[in-house]
Amino acid sequence: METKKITCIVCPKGCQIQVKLNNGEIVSIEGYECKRGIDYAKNEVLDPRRTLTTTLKLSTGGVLPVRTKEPIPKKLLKKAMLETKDIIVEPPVKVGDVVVENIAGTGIDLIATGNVE
Amino acid sequence: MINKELVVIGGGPAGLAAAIEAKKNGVEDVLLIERDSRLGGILPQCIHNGFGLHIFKEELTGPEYAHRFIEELEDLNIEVLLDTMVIDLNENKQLTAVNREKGLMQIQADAIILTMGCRERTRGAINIPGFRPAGIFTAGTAQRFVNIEGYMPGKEIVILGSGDIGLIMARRFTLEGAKVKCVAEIMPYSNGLTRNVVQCLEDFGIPLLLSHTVVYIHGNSRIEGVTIAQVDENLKPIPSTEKYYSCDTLLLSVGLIPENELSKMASIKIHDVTGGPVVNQRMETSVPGIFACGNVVHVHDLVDFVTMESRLAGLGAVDYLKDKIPSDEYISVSAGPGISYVVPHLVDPEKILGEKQNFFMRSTKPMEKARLFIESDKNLIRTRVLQHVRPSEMISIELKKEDLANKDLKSLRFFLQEEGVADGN
Repeated sequence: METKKITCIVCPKGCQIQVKLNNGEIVSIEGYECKRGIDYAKNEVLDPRRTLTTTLKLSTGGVLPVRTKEPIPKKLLKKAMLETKDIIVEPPVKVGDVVVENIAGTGIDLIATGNVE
Repeated sequence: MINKELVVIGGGPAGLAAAIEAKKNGVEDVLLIERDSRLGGILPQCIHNGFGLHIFKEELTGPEYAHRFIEELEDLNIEVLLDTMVIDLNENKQLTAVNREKGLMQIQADAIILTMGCRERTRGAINIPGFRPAGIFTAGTAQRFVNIEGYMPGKEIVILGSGDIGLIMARRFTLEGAKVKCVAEIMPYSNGLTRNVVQCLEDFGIPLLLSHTVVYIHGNSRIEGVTIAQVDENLKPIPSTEKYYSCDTLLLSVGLIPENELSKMASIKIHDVTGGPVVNQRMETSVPGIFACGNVVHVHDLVDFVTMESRLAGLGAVDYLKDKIPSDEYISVSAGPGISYVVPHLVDPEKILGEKQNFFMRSTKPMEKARLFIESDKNLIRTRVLQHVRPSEMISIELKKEDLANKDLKSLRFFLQEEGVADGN
C-alpha cells in the first residue's frame, strides 16, 4: 500500500489530501473538504493536468495572452511551450478566439485571453 | 472647475467594480480616472489562471477577469479618462488631474472612491548590501516585461521573497526556458498562497529555501550572483551557512505597499498596520464622502475579495450621494492576539449595508488549526474553527445584522487562538 500526499489547488484553501494506492489503483481518498477535491486528487495521482498560460507574438508588436481551453497533461507543458515558440498571431483577436488548435497533440486548443484590435 | 457626482481614482479591479456598482445603483455622473493607457490595473499582466472562483465560479486568467468588468463598464457608458494622472486631492473633494490632451483639469466631486492600489517594495526597502548592478527587478516589473512587452529580463534567475508574484514568475520564467535557481524566503513559511507553492515551484522542482535571505549582491555593470545565507530565529544571517549562487537576474517579491500619497494630501487618516486609510462599514475614509477599497486600503491576495469590497464602496457612495446617511456612531473594531489587522476598522452596528457585514483580517503567524473569537464589550458573539491559517491567506468572516444591531455595543474585537493538533494523523 502506498500513500500519496497532495495539496489541493482547486481553491485557495489548499486542503491536504491523502490518496491510498494499491498496485496503482486508488483505495481511499481522505482530507478533502469539497467534491472538487476528490476529482483533483484522482487526477493528480492518475493523470496530472495543468492549464497552460503563456503569450504569443503579435505581428503588430507586443504579445497576446493565451491559455489552453482546458488543462493539459502536466508532462506535455514543455512540448506545448516549444510548439508556441514561433507562432505569430495576426490581429484582430478577441477573448475566447482559438489561436492554436490541438496543442501538443492533446486535442485541446489554445485560446486568446485578451482583445487586440 | 469641472463638476462630477462621483470620481473613481484608479482603473484596476477595485475602481472598475466600484464604478460599475455605483452606476448600476443610480449614480449617473461617474468619472473613472486611470494613469495607464489601458484599464484593468495589474490584471492584464497576470496572464495565469485562478481568478474569479468566488464571483464567477470559474477559473479565469487576469486579462479575462478584467475583460468582464471592462465590457460591463463600457455597456454602462461610464466615462473614462486614460493616461491621466491625479496629482492633487484635498478634503473638500477637489482634485487636480493632468493628461497630454486636456492639460490640467480641476474637478469638484460630490463623492470620491480611492482605488489607487499598491506598489512593490524594492531593494531600497529591504537594504540588501552589495553593488548596484543592472538585473535587479521587482517581480511585478519582470512580469510586465515578459507578459506585456514580450521581453525576457534574464536566463539565470534567483528570486528573493515568496510572494505570489515571485512564485508565479518562477513558473513563467521556467516555461520560457530560463533557469530559476531558487526562491529564498526569510520567514520560516511561504508568503504566497499554497496553491502557488505547489503549482509554480514543486511542479518544476524549484527549491524553496525557507529561513534564507540574500546577504550580498555581486557584479558591477550586471548582476553576476548573490550570496544566500540561512537566518536564525531573529532573522539574522548565520555566516557559516553562506552560499554563492550565480545568476544574471534577481527578482524581488518582498511585499506590497498601499499607494496613499493622494489620501495623505486629503488628510485622510491612515492605519498603522495596513498602511491604508481607516475605513468604516461602507469603506468610507475619515473624510466623509471619500471612500477607498481594494489594495489601497489593505493588500489582498484574491481579486474576488477586492471586487466584493469595492462593490460595497460603490454602494456606500450611492447612499452618501442620496444623503441617506445621518451621522454615524462608530464603535472600534480591533485586532487582538493572533490577528494583525481587521478591515473595516470602524462600524456603526445600526447601519450595516444589507443583511451581513463582512470583515477581512490576517493572522500573525501560520497555525494548522485555530479558533477565531469575535467578542464585543458585552459578550462573545461567535467563534469559528479555522484550518490551515496562513498570514498570506486573508480570512473573511461575515457577521449578521442581528449579531450587531440593537445591542448597544461599544466595541468589537477579533482574536485567534491556536488549537492543539487534535487528531494523530
